[in-house]
Amino acid sequence: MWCKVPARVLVAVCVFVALPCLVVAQPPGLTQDDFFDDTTVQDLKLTLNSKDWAALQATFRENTYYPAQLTWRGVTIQNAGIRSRGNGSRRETKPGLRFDADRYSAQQTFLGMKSFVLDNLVQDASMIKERVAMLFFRRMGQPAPRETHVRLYVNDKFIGLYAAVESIDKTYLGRTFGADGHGGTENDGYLFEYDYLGEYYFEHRGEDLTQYAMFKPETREKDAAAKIWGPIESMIQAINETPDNQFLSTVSTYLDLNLFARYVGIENFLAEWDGLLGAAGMNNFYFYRFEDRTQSQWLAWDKDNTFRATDYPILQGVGQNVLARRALGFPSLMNAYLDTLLESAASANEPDPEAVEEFLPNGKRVAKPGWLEREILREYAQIRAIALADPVKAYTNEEFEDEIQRLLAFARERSAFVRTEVEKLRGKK
Amino acid sequence: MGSVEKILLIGLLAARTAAQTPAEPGAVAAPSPPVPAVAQQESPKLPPVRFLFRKPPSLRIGDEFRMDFRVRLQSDIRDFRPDLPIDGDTFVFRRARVGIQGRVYDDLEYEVDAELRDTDAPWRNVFLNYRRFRVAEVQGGRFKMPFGRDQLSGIFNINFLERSLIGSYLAPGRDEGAMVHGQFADGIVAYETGVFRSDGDNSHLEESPGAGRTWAGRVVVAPLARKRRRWRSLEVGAAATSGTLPEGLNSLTGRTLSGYRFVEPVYVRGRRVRLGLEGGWAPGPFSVQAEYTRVNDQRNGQGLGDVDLTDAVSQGWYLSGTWALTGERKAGGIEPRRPLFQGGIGAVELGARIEAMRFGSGVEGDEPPFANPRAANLLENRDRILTLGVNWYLNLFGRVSFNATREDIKDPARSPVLDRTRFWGAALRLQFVL
Repeated sequence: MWCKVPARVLVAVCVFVALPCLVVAQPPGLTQDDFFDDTTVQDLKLTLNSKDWAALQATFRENTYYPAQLTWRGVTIQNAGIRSRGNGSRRETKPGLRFDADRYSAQQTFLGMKSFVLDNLVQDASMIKERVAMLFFRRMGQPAPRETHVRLYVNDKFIGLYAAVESIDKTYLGRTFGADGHGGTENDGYLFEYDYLGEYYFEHRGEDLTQYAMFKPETREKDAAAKIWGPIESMIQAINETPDNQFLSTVSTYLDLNLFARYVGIENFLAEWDGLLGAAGMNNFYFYRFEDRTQSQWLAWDKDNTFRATDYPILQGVGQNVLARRALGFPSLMNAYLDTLLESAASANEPDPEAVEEFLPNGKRVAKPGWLEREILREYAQIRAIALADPVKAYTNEEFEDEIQRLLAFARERSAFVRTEVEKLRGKK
Repeated sequence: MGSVEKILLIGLLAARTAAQTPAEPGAVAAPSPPVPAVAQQESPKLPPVRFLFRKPPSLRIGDEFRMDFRVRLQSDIRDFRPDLPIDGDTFVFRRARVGIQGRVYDDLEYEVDAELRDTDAPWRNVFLNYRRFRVAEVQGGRFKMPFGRDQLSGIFNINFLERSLIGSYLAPGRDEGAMVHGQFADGIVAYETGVFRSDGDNSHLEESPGAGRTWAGRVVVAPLARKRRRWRSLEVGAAATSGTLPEGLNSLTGRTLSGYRFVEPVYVRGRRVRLGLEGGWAPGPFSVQAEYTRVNDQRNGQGLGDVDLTDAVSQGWYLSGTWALTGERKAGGIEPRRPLFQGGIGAVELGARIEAMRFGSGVEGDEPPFANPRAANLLENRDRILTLGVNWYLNLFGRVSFNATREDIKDPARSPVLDRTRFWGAALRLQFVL
C-alpha cells in the first residue's frame, strides 16, 4: 500500500507545479486587454512545420488541426493548435484561422483565453468593417467580441493583415454575463453557433429536433438532444403558433423581446445584410440559453457584411423573419426598435467632445466628423500601410481605398437617412 | 473391416496425433504433422484418394498430396467496470477462420487461411514454403513477419483471450514478402530472415500506411535442446526489423482492452527500427514466457519550424506464466488426458500475465513534455495490465477461457474515462477448433 501513496503524491505535486506554468505562460502584467488593445496593430508570429502550413492551405475547407507555437510580445504558447475556419470566407492563399491554446492541453490558455479567431478579412475590401461594427455594438451596450488588427507572420514570413477576434466560448460568456444566480459564473448554459444551412426565417419545422441542427451546440454537446434542442423547438413553435393576444407573455419566457428589438435595430442601422434579418435568411450570430432558464440571448458574430448601403432600408428583413414580423407588429416593440435606430444614428454621429469648435468665414460652424467617421479614419490610419503591403488580400489596393471612401460616406450620411426614415414611419402612424 | 471403417479408424488415431501439434501453422512455416505410422504401414492397402476424419480433416492423394481443412471459431462476452464504450459489442462473434494447408510431395508446403468476419481484408496466411533444404527453407506470400514470440503464436493457441499489448501493437504481424528460414546445430539454433512489402498489418491498423519495404530477422536458440527433457523447451531469442517511414502521422499507436486509443499518432519520417528480446520455457505442466520490444521511429524535420526531433519511442514488455492443474504437458499445446464426456473433466490451466506498453520520446534538452504530434518531448502515456485467467480444455476441439483484468492508464487526460485511470474487465471465450 505504501507504494501507491508516493506515486499519487508525486502526480499531485507534478500537476500542482506544472499547471501554473501552463496557465501563466506569459510575462506578468500582460492581459487580454493588452492583446486587444486597438490603439495599435499587434504583431503575431506562428511557428508551424512547413508541411503543416502547406497542408492547411491545400485542405483549407477541412477543419484539421495542426500543432503551432504562438509568439506575441514575448509571450510564447508552445503546445497549441490551429486550423482553417470560416464558411464563405475560406481561402487557400489566405486561410482564416482558429487558434486553440487548449487543443493539446486542456488546462493551457493564452492570457486566460482558450482560443481566438484570426479573421482573414477577405470578404471586406476595406478590411475594417468587422472591427468597426463590433465596436459599435459594444458602444450600444450589446455584447460583442473584442477585436484588434494583426500583422500575421508564419514561420517568420509576413502572411497578411488579419483581425484577431475574441472567441465566443465559456470564457467570453463569463466575462459578458458575470455572476449567475448561484454564486458562480454565468457560462454553464447552452451556447449555440448558428450554422448557416440554407435560407431559414424562424419557421416551425415540426417536432423533429434534427430540423434545428443549424443551432450547433458549442457547450454541453454531449447532453441529450431533447435537452439541447427541445427548448429551441418549443421557442420556435411559440413564435409561430402563439395567438397574438398571448404572444408577448408566451414568447417572453424564451426571449427578452426588447433586447431582440434592440439587437436587430443595431444590425439594420449598420446595414448588415448577412445577419439575423439577412437577405438570405438568418446568419452570423451565437445564441445563448442561460443556465437553468428557458430564456436565451443573441450574441453578435461576424460583421464583415455590414455597411451595405447608406440607404439600406430600416425595415429590411422584418417582413420575412417570423419573429421580427410578429414581434415588431406590437407597437411597444416597434417603438423600441425605432428608438434603437435613432439612438444608433445619434451615437454614430456623436462629435468628439474634445474637438475645438471651428467656424467658417460666414459664421457657420464647421461640421465635425461623428464617432463612426472618426473610428473609420482611425482604423484606416492604423492599417493602411499594412493592408497595401498584404500580398494575399482579396482585393486590389484601389478597391481598398475606394471601399474606405465608401465607408466614410456611409458614416456621414447614414444617420440622416435613418432619422428621416424613422420620422416617415412614425408620421404615417 | 471395410475400407470406410479403416479410414475412420485411421482418422481417429490421426486426430489424437494431430492434437499434439501446434494449431496455428504458417507463422514460421511449422512442419506439417507426419503421416501417422499406422497409415504408413498400411499404405499399400489404402485407396490412392482418401479422406481422413480427424483433427484436422484431411484429403490425401497417395503420398504426393495432402490437404488439411481447418475451421476455427471464437465467441467472446466482455464487460468493463466502469462501463466503457467497447470496440464492438459486449457479446461478439469474434473470429471465424477457415482454411486449407498441406503439401505437395515432400518439399512444397502451402497454406491459405481466411477470416470470414473480416470482409475488408479476409486473407490471413497465403503462402508457399519450399523445404527441401531444412537449413534454408524458402517461403513466399503473405504470412507473419519474424518478430515477436507472442505475435507469432496462433491466436487460437495463446494462453489468454488477448495477445499482449506489445504482441498486438508493436510486433508487425503479417505482410507480403519472402523469407529464408531454417535450423542448424542439431536444431539448437533456428533463424528466419526476410524482406516484406511494409512492416505488417499491426502498423497500419489505423490510417497509417506503416513503414515501406522492411527487413526482418529473428534468431531463437534452444541451448539445452539436447540436454535433459525438462530443459529442452527453454528458448531465448532476439529479433529486429528495419524499414523506411513515409512522412506523416505514421507512428505506432496503442489501444486499451476496450479499444480506446490512448495515444495518438505523431509525425515521423526516417527509419523505423524494432528490437525484440524473448524467452520461454515449458517444463511439464508449467510455462513461463517473457518478451521486451522497443520501436524507434525517426522524426527528421518534423518539429515546428521543420527542426529534427528525437525519435518517437514505443516500448513494452510482458511476463506470463501458466500451470496445468490437471497435469498435462504444456510444451506443444495442452491435450486433455481425460476429455469431457469421455470419463473426465478435460484439462484446467491457470495463467497470469503482467505487462506494460508506453509511448513517448527521448528528452530533448529541457523541453517540457507535450501531447501534440510535433512535440519535441512527447508526453508519455502508458497502459499496464494484469491478467488472471483460467483455460478449460474440454476436449480436442473445445475450450472455454475466462480472463479478469486490471488496467491502469498513466495519463488521466488520455484515458477511456477522463480523469479515471483504473479499469476492471472480465471476458469469457468459447472456442471451437476443428
